Amino acid sequence: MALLTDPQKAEVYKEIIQKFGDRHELLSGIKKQDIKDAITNTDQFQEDNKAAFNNVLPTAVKNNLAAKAKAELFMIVADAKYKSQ
Amino acid sequence: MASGNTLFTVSPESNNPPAASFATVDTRNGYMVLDFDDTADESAIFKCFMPANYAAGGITVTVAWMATSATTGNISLDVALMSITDDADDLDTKAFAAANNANPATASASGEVKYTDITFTDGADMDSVAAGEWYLLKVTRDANGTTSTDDMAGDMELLGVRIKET
Repeated sequence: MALLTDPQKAEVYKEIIQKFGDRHELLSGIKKQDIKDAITNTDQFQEDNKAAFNNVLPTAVKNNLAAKAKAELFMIVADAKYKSQ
Repeated sequence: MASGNTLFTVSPESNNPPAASFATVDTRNGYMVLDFDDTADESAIFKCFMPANYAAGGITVTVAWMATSATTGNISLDVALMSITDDADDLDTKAFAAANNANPATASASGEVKYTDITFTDGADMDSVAAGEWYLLKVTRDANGTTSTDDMAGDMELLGVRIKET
């Protein structure tokens, strides 16, 4: 997958701000541009490391699961790890 | 009235939202607020009345607001007035006078209320609102920073507005 476009990043920003706002997540020392930069950097990190992630998966999963499903697996595991915090 | 006396107060419940790009209703710990987006400019409009004993001087509009999440950054806050003069001003066509702007920093803690003053001189600056007249007051978060820097992440929550004689 390619890097996110600017409109896609804008949508991600809106979603993040909405989620943070709903639970009054403390944004201490963080401004708008910091969050936008974090989205860009996270997008780039995922792009740079997608092969590494793919390689840690069991061969059957690596070879047979669709890319979107692998992304969902990644997100669900990450969400579960931090859900209680 | 003397300097410093309150002329009018408004709360989120009395908002007359514009047709588009309006601030949205929310609550903060159960208290009603209006949320202003941090990316697109949004406004709230309030109908106000200028008391008959207003002394025709300048006014100060004090906006009470909070950040939803942020404890850092500034907002660009516009306030504009529109007089409704007896048998003269047509609401179908009348426009707001040019807005005055403030560029306040958010309070030091999320949930703390910041009081931001925006002053208007008497005359055209406040659309010549006179004693005994209705007028409209528009509060806008200039989220894209047209007039001054707006770098605060997340919504601005409006708690109320006070209008006093300067």
